[in-house]
Amino acid sequence: MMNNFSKLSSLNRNLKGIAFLIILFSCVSACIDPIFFETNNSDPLLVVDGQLITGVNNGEVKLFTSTKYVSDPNDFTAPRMVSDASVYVNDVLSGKRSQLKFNTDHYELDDESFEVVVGGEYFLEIIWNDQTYRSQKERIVEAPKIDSIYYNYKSVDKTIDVYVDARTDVESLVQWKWSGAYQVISFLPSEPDTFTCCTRCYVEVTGKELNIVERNIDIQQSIKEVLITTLKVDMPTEFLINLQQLSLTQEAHEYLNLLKIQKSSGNSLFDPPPFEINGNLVNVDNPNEKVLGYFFASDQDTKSIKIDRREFFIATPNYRSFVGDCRDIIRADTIIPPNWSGN
Amino acid sequence: MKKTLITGIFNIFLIFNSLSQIDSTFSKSYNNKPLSEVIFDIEKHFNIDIVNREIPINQLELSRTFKNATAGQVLRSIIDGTGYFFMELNEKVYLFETSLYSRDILDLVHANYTNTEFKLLRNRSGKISSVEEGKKKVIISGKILQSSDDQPIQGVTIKNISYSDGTISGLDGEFKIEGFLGENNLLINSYGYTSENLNLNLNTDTVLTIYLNSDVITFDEVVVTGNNAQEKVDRPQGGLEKISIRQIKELPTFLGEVDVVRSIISLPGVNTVGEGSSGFNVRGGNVDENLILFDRIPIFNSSHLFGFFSIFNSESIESFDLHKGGFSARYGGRSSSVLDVEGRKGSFSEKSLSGSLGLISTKVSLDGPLIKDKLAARVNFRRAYTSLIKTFVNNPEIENKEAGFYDLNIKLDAKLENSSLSFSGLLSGDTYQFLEDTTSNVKNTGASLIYRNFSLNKLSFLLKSSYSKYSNGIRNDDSRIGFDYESYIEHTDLSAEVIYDISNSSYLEVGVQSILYRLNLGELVPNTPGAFNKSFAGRERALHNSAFIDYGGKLFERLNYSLGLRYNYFLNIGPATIYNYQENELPYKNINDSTIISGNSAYNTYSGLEPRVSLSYSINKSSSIKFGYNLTNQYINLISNSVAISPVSYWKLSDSYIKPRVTNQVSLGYFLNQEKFSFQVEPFYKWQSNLLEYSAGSQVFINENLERDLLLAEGYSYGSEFKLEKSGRFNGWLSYTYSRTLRRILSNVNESIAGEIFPANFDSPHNFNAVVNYKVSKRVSVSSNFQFRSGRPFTIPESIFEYQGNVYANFSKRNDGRIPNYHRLDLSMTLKSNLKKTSKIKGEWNFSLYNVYGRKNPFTIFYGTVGNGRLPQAYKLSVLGGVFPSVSYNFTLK
Repeated sequence: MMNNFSKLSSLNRNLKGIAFLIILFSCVSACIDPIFFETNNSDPLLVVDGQLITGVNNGEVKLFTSTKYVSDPNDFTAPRMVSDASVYVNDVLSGKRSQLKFNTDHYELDDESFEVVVGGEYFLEIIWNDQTYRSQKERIVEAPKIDSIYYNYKSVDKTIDVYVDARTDVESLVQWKWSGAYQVISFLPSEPDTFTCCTRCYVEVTGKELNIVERNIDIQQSIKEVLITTLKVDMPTEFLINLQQLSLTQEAHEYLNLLKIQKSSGNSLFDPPPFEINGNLVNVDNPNEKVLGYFFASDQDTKSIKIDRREFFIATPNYRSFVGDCRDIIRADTIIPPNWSGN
Repeated sequence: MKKTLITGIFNIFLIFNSLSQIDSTFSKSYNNKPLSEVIFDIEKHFNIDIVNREIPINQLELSRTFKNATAGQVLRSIIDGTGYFFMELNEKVYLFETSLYSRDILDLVHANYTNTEFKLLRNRSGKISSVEEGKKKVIISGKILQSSDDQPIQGVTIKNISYSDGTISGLDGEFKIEGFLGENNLLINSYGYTSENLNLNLNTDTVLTIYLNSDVITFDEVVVTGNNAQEKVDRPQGGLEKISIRQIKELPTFLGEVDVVRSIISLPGVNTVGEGSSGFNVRGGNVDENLILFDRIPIFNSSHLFGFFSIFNSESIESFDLHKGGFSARYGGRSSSVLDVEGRKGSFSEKSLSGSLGLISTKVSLDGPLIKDKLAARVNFRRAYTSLIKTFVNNPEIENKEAGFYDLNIKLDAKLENSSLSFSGLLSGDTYQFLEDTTSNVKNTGASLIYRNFSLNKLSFLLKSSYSKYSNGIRNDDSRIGFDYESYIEHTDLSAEVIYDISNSSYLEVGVQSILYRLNLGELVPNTPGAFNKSFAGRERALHNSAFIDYGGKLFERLNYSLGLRYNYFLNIGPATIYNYQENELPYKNINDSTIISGNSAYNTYSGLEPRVSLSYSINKSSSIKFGYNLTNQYINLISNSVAISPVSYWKLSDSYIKPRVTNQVSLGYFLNQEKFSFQVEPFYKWQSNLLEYSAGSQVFINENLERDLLLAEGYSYGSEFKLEKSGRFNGWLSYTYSRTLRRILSNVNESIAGEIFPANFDSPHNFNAVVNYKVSKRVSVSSNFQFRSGRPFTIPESIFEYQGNVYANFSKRNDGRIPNYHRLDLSMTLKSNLKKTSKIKGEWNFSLYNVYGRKNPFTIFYGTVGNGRLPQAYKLSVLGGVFPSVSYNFTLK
């Protein structure tokens, strides 16, 4: 089934050919050149990537600063992580406040007494450089249940598409996030001409796709065949996917939708013009300072699935091998991840 | 000068009856009697009226004897040698001072006193004294006709400089104007015809038939004048711009194509976002706010190939008016301007074949009578091709792709007794291939039938019906995802107008109009059944009824006014599905339920009154101050939300959620016309409500619930237009416009500009144009065109940030940056051949250099990604990448 968005994308791809006219009637030489804009607002801005999920100690906030827009990608500097801020979550209904602790690259909730529940209202407060930043209140709506998670092997493209079916309504807009793991086995030559399977590692992966439900006109809608991710066929024999279906407020959904449009636009004259995206945080001390990012508070439903490549009779090596110690792989660990065995 | 006379722009037939024909003779002797006494005796004896007799020579003493002398003999006897001559006009005898008149006229007068036709020289000066001059009023009436086919010309300005009176010819070409006994100096101006100056000496009401020659169709010596300069001063309406088609033809061209719309952009107050952009913006109005009429057929897309070329074949145009403000109540439905294009009529007397060959297109026109002096026809055809261009552009991307367009115009004009009937039809289409399997087809189809009747004294009628359809289609032939897409707008209307000339200086015009709109908002159908679901944005129908009244007159001699009122009644008609929302203003986000409207029932109505006021105060004969106010309601919208022109933009009607756009405009102008120069300055202020802006990132293509993606806004435009124009051999104009076009979003949005004023997408504060023509010789003329305008506003990236593992651009608030300024110089030379009037073939070459210094003016900015798709990258698109030479050849065979 072809949804509206993909139809649009398909047509837009076709429309790019109109550049043909431009070439035809005007440009003997190249007429599309990178351009750089001098802006007055190039000071680094605080970027907040935070999410609070129902349960206990289920909150994480990442803070960065924005970097200057550059016309040459070689001049791009990675966003700087902010680790010297004080980050608090606040429960509006109970009046509780809890400070998040910094751990490696993020701030995390570590307070058994701070329980996040459906119907609760929460906001985030950050104190950094003597400035106080605060989010709007997020009221948690109940996440609908995941109907099923499944996958299809596309022999033509040699890919495996992972899908989800669900039901949503106006009050329960959702985002799908996935994380998972695959197994890597170290082959360490202990003796000449022999290989011993030394170590089994599990490499953690996190999906970066921005998957949200489309807001259609139907009040109640069955969501079928939402593509969560596409895995290449050279995946390890077993690949675990843990899917989170996170409830979103309308405002949060709108924010993510704009990010998604920005990401999927581009390279075409017929895309919508660029637009400003504002999150739900402000600098209390200086309302004119823009704060990027969004703080969510969500309920979730989860489901996992392990994909076994051997189902597809693919004539490639059974295991992704790693010559050396697999623990050297980034995000690899010998501990068997949760849900690995049950799926 | 004599040639000017011969080829002159008007012919007045004055009948000279020899005074010798008067049926009596005169016998008397005078001895040292004053001339005045003799004249008195002659008047009394022959029972004739001699006007202008208070002449300086009255006291000359005369001693002479007449015996059985005719009146003519007597008059010749007493006048000859005095520096005066006499002439009969309308059964009166006039005395004229010889030194003030040319030898040509005197020769005619003296050589033949009977039934002599002569033409008065232009720009004659001098005064004839008269005892009654300045005291008794006379009425000058008559008809203005085209010299080529005797067709009446409407809208000609006739100004009696001597009397400070002015009027405009009606539909039947008739006019009536007041004057004084004695000399009356008439200035006659009309767009598409050269201006004229006519001196008359009158002693009674006079009826004239004035023939004007078009300045369009001749290859004869071209006298480019400030042809509408005096008219600008005289008309009560400000904000009216005209360029003769002749002037347009001399301007530099893009790829050899004479382009009306491109020329309009050189006028003050008119702007465009750039090459490759459909339409134009007038005084801060959106491109969909221009009512474009071709022989009264509404045109919904005035461009071929996304604005690279105009839909108007220059060979099919007689004239056009661009009304930027001060609209007559006759016009309605659009907010910002009226571009009223009159198609070129066929000749009632002479057949001809004309055409042109250019780099991009070929044009052919057939012209001539189908029934001599009764029915004339003109057919114009233009076909554009890209093959030739492709041979110069070595680009494999375009080798297997085609783009082209065609247009066909047919015009029939029939002369009936005291009436006329004209038919005009147009058919145009664009085809362009995006990809090897994807082709776009755009079509304009239209026809109009106009019946004019001027059989009743002081009353003229007009009945008109027109049909217009603009459709936009895309076809993809892919076997898996192939599709057919189409959207269209259909307009059918019937209207009637009556003009009543109340007096020589006042008129009343009333009319009614009914328009039926039928729209398809977009439909995408798979070629292969089941490949994907059909998408359909819906159909719309509406009836737009209106009535208007326009009254014009004069107060206190110097104040001309035109007062109008238009009433609109707009009805949305089913069938339709109406969604009901929780919200009560744009954007409507959350649906409660829906209502099905069946059949032809009206489910939503709007009505509105539109007052129109135009005032003109004549400071003196050559300058005036004008004030204009108009209110307009617009019920249709062009929907497009892309960084550039889009082949999938479509028209949409106002409905329950999209309210009609309301525009108010005031302007105050000063107009000055000197012999060689004219100057105008016209500040304006426009405020608009119920404007539409698009939500961030909104996709409008096949959107069944567009109201969910639209924002309610209000707008303000203000500025001042300056224009200095020179006529003569070295002619042209300089225009400068300072203007701002601002918006304020009223809907609740999570954007920094919420509640703030920000520049509209086409806001361009500074706009300068210089058009200079120099006629080197009869054969050769050169022309240049320079344009400068401020870069358009754009939303720009300010920083980059990472969120949920992806990199995004942080864009500024709406339109907070600007693309670089636009400027361009074009040059052209026109070379004419076979200037002899007797020549059967006439031709002219046009050589043009477009964008002489090859500036890569950015048209727009769009965004892609670099760094494995992680980093946003802005690109500027320069539609013109270099200098564009072109050549075209125009010919006429008779």
